[in-house]
Amino acid sequence: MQPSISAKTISYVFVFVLLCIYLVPILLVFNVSLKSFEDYLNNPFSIASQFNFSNYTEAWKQGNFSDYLLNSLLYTGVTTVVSIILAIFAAFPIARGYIAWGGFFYLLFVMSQFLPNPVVAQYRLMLFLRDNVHSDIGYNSKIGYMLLRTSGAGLVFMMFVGYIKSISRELDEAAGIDGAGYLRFLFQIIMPLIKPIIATGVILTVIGTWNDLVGPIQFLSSPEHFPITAGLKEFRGQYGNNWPLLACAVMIVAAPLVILFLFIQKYIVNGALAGAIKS
Amino acid sequence: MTRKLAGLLALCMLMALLAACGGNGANKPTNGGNTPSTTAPAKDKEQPSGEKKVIKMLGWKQSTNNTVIESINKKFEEKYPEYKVEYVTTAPDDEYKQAYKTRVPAGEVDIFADLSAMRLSPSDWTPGAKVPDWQQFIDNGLIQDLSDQAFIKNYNEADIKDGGTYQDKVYAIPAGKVAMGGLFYNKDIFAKYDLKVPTTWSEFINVNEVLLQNNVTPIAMAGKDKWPVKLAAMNLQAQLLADGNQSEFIEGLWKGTSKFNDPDAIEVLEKMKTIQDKYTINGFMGIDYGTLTSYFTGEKVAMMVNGVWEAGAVQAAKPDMNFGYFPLPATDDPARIKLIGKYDMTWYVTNNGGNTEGAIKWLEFFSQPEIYQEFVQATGFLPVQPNIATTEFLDAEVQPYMNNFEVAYEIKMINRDNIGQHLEAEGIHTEYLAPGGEFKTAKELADVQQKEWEAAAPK
Amino acid sequence: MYPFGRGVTRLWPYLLFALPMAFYLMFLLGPSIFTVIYSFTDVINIPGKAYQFVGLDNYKDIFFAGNSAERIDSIKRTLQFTFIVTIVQNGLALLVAVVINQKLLGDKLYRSVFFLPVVLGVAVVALIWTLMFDPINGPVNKFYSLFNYSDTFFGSFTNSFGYIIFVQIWMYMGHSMLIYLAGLQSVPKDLYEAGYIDGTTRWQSFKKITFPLIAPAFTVNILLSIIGAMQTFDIILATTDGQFNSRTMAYDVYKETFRGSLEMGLPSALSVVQFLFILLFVIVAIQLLRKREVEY
Repeated sequence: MQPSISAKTISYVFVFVLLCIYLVPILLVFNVSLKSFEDYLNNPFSIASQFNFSNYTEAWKQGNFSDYLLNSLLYTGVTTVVSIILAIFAAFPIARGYIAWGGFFYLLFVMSQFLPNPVVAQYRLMLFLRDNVHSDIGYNSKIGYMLLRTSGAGLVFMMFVGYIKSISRELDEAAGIDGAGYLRFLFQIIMPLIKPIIATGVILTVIGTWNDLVGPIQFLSSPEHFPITAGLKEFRGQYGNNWPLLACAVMIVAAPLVILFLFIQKYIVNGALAGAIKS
Repeated sequence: MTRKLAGLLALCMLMALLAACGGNGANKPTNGGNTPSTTAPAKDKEQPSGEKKVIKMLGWKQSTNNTVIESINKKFEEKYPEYKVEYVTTAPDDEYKQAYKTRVPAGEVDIFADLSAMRLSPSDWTPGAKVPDWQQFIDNGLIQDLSDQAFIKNYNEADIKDGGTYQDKVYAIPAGKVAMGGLFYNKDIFAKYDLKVPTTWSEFINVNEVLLQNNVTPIAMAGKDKWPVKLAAMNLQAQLLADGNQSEFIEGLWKGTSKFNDPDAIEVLEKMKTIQDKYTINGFMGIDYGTLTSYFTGEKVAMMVNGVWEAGAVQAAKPDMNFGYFPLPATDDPARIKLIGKYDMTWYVTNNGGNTEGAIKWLEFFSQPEIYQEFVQATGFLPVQPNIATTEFLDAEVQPYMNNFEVAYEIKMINRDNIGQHLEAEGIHTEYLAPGGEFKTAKELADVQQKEWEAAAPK
Repeated sequence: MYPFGRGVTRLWPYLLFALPMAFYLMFLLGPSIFTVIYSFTDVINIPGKAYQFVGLDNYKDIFFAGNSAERIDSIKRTLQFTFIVTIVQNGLALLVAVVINQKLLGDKLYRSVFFLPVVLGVAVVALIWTLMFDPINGPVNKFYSLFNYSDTFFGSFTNSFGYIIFVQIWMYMGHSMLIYLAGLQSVPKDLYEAGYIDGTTRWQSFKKITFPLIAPAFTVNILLSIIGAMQTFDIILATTDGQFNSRTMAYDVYKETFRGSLEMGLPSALSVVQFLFILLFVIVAIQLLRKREVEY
């Protein structure tokens, strides 16, 4: 069916208006980030007359972002990789019915999205681990925090199950006849086949860890362990009204994820979210 | 694409690895001890020889306070090279509460500051009141008893008794008093319109009217954070409740002899309503505390409701500004004027953090008159040690009112457990008055408050 | 049935499944079960301190204490939030998906831009809108002044919650839209052509052909929105901090757990109540959606 010309025009107008609502705030913040403080106070939202990139170096220094950024990369990188692998370990046998009680486990894992807030017991657990197992995996430790953030359950798991179900079982049987082992099959055949859904899983997991606001205050007490959101908070506390610097901090925190997103966005749209649908 | 993805992940892992390896020295220059010493469990008190013992200190962000404490820490480390102070700060208020609530029981703190001195402790006339955090910490043996420390003597006996004593033992050092029930005013603007500092409610109204007639917005308040509005209300409470005896009013609430909708309590709300409706900058309910001072220094208003601690920030923002401070008057009798305040920043030493003795050493160092003087001068607190010089601002603008100093309602008030939102956080929340809030008149709000108070009575 | 060998090798799936299960049990499910237990005790946040069972006291405190009216307000507000967000976000996302799917010029750009806020994260989004909604000289108020109107936005008792709903939808519309787009792209083109020849209107073709085919996407989106909206506290925390009549159940749980007293019984009970609410909603939604899917 060919849409009429007028329908197309209306569509463009609609999309354009929406685009403004999405882009203008982000561009305004970017614009503010380039201004000097005086310029901002006098004329908050005019176009920046000159590019004050020194704001960025200043914000970078004041917010200790170089320290926090490395931590965030560590947390995000490790928890994402491990979570994705764990989700595959859980999703594949359930999607295929290779383990007993698959339906029960499926519901159990899906429920992880809205369980009663576990934070009080988690806090006690982390203290227990610190005092009785090893101080490097408990409260106020990098590994301890990553353990808490790692999970093979939830939305990513659900999408994986859906997507794997859409892959023909004959593949398994053929591989089995060829004598492939379970583990090898998972890593060499299944993983490449579900790339798009992995990309989606990656972006969702990365977003969750990178933007964690609450966990760091609760489970990390030393600044040497703080992630980048802590830098942003420090900033907000210290420069409550210095919007140009604050806007720089916002840009610094957001940039890595936006770059990652640009890298893998093609995958996410092209069929990736179909995984959620097929379940 | 897969390769790119794999490459990206590999990059993340690599960065991560780097971060993990370079985690200690390279990461944080201020953190001398290497990782094991800071992440060590609380029980593990032994430190490898030749290494500095870390004193873990927790505070909240307030740039003038943080600067001076860091400078004191530096001097402390010079004098006691075996120690290293790790000073961690969070955002003020609720996030700070969250931090000490988890880190103190976890044994990750040796010394921390509470946002005000001991307060809200249940009394025999407050059946069913909730036990406050500091008291639970002490009751559970997390806080070090300081009664026998020699440096206690450096402080005024009365202040230690009011601000740091619980069950006849000293558990805390209130580092200073602040006054907060007044307004900063721009002296140049006042001079321009020939205005004097008001000492009565009528004069105060007159000042505002004159400013309005000359198209000057009189007052800025930070409504978005709510508590800054409370400062003005509390100064009125101290003067109006039970004819200037608010303790009697508070005890009466518990005993049923006074009510939130008594005429004196309603008068407080009405006067706040007048200030909010007529004289405060439009949209003040959207102003957050962080930006409040910029309205004053930017001369968008002639006065701002704030605590005296902000003087340093005003000076820093605009060094040539000519400003003063006066308590908000509530009646037409100048003799009844009061200025309310509280003990700010109260130090507690924990005994489960692994370095209690270092924390006590620090407090001892801090309590020396010359160090304490530096602290008081920088923070703009009123000293609780005798013979300490304060700042010029405090001497000129605040000391004259200190004879009429009184501890604020929020410190004296003991709330009922599960109290409703119109009375929570030991306040009377005039922000609920129209036009910002839903209550058209002071009476309506007062009635709801009394109803909430009764509903929260222990069953 | 299991193609990868017999005997011991049959244990591989179990062995590998045990890993995520162990993680889940230890760090999430286990602690959650403890939350249920804590909700019946007077536990305080000092480890090692003994606690006692107090029966239903914490639950009574939620529904029958001095501030219960506010707790019930919070629950009402949560329902309001969930309904509005679910309906508007999905309606808008579906519309945008359908519009973009007609092969507009630059469609890839649009979907990236609309998904961008999800990537930015709550902290950043909240700061962006705090700046936009600056009550004095902020750009939105400048715009309002054209109509002789002004607002205090996140500092307004009557409107702050509306603005939070707006920001929430602004933030997550892109996610729903992507799921719809994925659904739409799986609809075979020839179906439309058949319909076109039959002379159906656009609306009819949407109703009769497109919608049934993207029904699974619809189901997923509705469920995700409900679960997400009922658990939202971070955007409230970062914009109004629960002030100005903007508290929801999820915010209350957060507030009581992290910022209230040291007592943990009440927040645990609140968490359990919240969990039951979500569970109920999810079950009802699944029933309704399934019924609808059968009809077609």
